Formats: sequence, structure tokens, C-alpha cells
Amino acid sequence: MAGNEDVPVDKALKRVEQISSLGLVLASLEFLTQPQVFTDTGLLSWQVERSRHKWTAGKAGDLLDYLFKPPGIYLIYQLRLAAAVALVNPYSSKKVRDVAVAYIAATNYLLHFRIRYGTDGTEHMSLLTYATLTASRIFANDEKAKEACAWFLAGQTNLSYFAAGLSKLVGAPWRNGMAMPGIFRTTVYGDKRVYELLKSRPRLARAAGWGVVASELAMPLMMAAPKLPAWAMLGMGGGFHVGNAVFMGLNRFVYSFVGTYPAVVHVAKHMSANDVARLADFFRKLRRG
Amino acid sequence: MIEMSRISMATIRRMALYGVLGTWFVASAVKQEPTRRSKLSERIDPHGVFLPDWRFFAPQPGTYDNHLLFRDELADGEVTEWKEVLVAGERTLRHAFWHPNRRGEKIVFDTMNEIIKITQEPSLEKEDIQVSVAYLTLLNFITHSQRHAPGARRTQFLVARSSGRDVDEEPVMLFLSNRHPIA
Repeated sequence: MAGNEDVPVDKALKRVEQISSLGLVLASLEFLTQPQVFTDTGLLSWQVERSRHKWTAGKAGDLLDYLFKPPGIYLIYQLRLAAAVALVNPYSSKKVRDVAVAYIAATNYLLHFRIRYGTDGTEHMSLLTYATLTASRIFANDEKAKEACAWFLAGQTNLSYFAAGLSKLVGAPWRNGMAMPGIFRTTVYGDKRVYELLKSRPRLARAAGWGVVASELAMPLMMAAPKLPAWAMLGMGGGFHVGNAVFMGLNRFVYSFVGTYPAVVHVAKHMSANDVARLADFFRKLRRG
Repeated sequence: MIEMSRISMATIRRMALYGVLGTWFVASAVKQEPTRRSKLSERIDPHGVFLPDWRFFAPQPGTYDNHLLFRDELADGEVTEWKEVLVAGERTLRHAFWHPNRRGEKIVFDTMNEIIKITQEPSLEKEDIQVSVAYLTLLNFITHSQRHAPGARRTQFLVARSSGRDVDEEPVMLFLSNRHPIA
């Protein structure tokens, strides 16, 4: 089970829970200190949001009012806060951790339906993380299944960097140096100091853009790299998120993405050529039906 | 015999998990088509419930600020000056740790983007936009959560776009709502 720290995969998944849940503590507190957004006149009014679908606008949707309007929505967040605190605490019992992980996973999907604006990649990484952690707890006595969960999470993290890098590579502003000053001139994702630095230095702006593209594309190499460069790349990834928090206002990304790193480290440490061959074999069988 | 069937059940369950996670990962990878021209994954998972979008700021990064403004119509038909809502302040180091107002800014940013996207649909009239959740979200917020001029009868909002700290480009108006009664 995910809790027996003698088993490496359990140790890794527990660290994932702890770091990711730290981000959820923060997110829950941020929502709970802004309760007005959920009122009927607030930016996340359920009265307005429920008009999106016929079934939620009608009588059947009335039942959801109890859950999605205050005080129901506040209770969801208060319990998420409690669950996240329980997961950060390394001494919480297995039973408490099981319930906390399942509750966060279920309410992640519920809130994804309830809240359509103001979310970002943090929420999506959280959806994947807690769904995977729930699966690992369902397969508590099956080490191979838990390894698969760690592989999936590590795979998504690597995919996230590679996909972000590849998509930037096909975008002309990232190649010609316009992207970074363009982003940093905005108040929503920018920063005055960085903009001042880049706006009159086109060569630096271009190098910075290419630097982001190259770093993101290279991140998956840490899975196969020798120990020292692999740790350096992981450190670079963490530093990238801290930089995004300081200069772009993306503070919650740190916990959700760095939160998956224990799974990445675990998979990278225990990956062998045999694993890759077995994975290829599995997909071959899957394709053949 | 019992032992055998237990082993095989465990194996079947594990294989099912491998199948689910493997399919999920492959579908996630397919969604990351770098140019964003393919709409296949949007058809499969329109609300992005299962498939993440990792193509942050790409291929075309957002390089503009959206601005939400409103004005009131008074009893004599005169209108007040435009007033901007939720003006984002300069970032400080504290925001890297604690930034609860950020959520509100992002909600308004997303709703404005959705309205802009809807206005680009040639088949839609302004009346269609008025029943969109994004429009209703902003109207509801402006009507009830903003301080209106004394004696104001109706209110109207405006979505504008600027180049932020780059003052060389003129801001442009992208969407002007109808005037709505202040209940």
C-alpha cells in the first residue's frame, strides 16, 4: 500500500501526496478567503453557471444548488483543506490518507464541472495526480500496479514539458524572439522588470525564447541521463516553476508540477532497458487486441 | 484452484489498469498536437475533463491584456465615465506564495477571452452572445458587485485590449455590451 515506506514506490507516491497537497492547502485557503466569488452575484455564481446546460438549468439541477451554492461549496473547500492537511502530515494513518486522496480526486472532477473560468494547468495536473493516487490506493497490495501509477504520472510530467516545448517550437514568436517580451509586457502574466530587460535587447529575448523551448524539449532526457545531470535537469525544472511563480504569478504550478517529481525520480531510478522493452511489447499486444 | 483464480483475477485487474493508464496516456499525447489545428481531441473531450492541455503559451503566446470596463446610464440619459474593473497591480514577491486576488483576475480574463472568441463566430449575433455564460457572468458581476453612480438606471460593459506595459500600441475596443437595467 502507499504508506509502507520500505517499498520504494510507496515512498515516492507518499512524497507526491505531500507536495501536491501543500498546493491544495494553498488553493483551498485562497478560495476560502474570497468567499464572495461563489455568491449569486459573484464571479463564480452557480446561478449563472447552471444555465450552461439544459439539465442543470432545469429542476434536476436544483438539487445541485445545495452542493454548488454557499454554504455547500464552502463545505467542499473546507473538507478539501482538511484532506490536504492530512496528506501533508506524514503521520496520518493509512485509512485517513485513503479517504483524503479519494475525496480530493472526486471533488477535483466535481469542481472541474462547477468552475469553468479561472482554472489552469495546475488543476489539470491535480486531476491526474489524485486520480492516479486513488488508483494506487485501490491496488494497495499490488506493487506492479502501483509502479504503473508512478509511470503514468512521471509520463504525464515528461509529456507536459515536451508538449509545451514542441508547441512553442512551431510558434514563430518563440523562434524570432517576440514571445518573451510579448508575454512580459502584459500585466496578467508579465513582470515590469523582465519586460524592461528584454524589450530593447532583441538578441537576449531571442535567446531566452529558445532557452525555454530547448529546456522544455530536453526535460524527458532526465529519465535516461546519468545521476548528476538528471538531478541538475530536475533542479532546472523546479527553478523554472519558481521563476514562473515569482515573475508570472503562476504560484500554484510549483506544487502541482514539482509534486509529481518524486514519481519521476522513482521511475528514472528504477527504469531499465527491460522496462522499455516490456512497455513496447504491451502496446504491441494492445494494438493486436 | 482457489489460489489460481485469485491470482488470475489480480492479474486481470492489473491488466485493466495498464489498459486504462496506457490509453489515457496515449490519448493525452495525441491531444498535444503542436499547431492546435486538429480539433479531434476537442470533439472527444470538449471540456478537457480527462485530457490535459500542456501547450502552455504556445504556439502563439498571449501578448495582450484584456480590460473590463463599465459605465452607467443616469435617469436623464447621460452616461458616466468608463471605469475599469479588477485592475491587476504590479507583482510582488509575496504573490509567489500568496495571491488570492489572482483567481478573480484570471476568471475575468477567461470570460473576456470567451466573449472575444464568440464574437469571432460569424454566425452569431449580439443577442446570441447575451445568453452565453461568459456574458452573463460579467453582467451579473458588474450589475451586482460594482458601485454604481447614484440614480443610475442602466449599466453597460466594455471589453478592451491593450499591449500592457508597451505604450506604443493604442488600446482597442473589442466588445461593447448592450445597456442593461440595474435591478
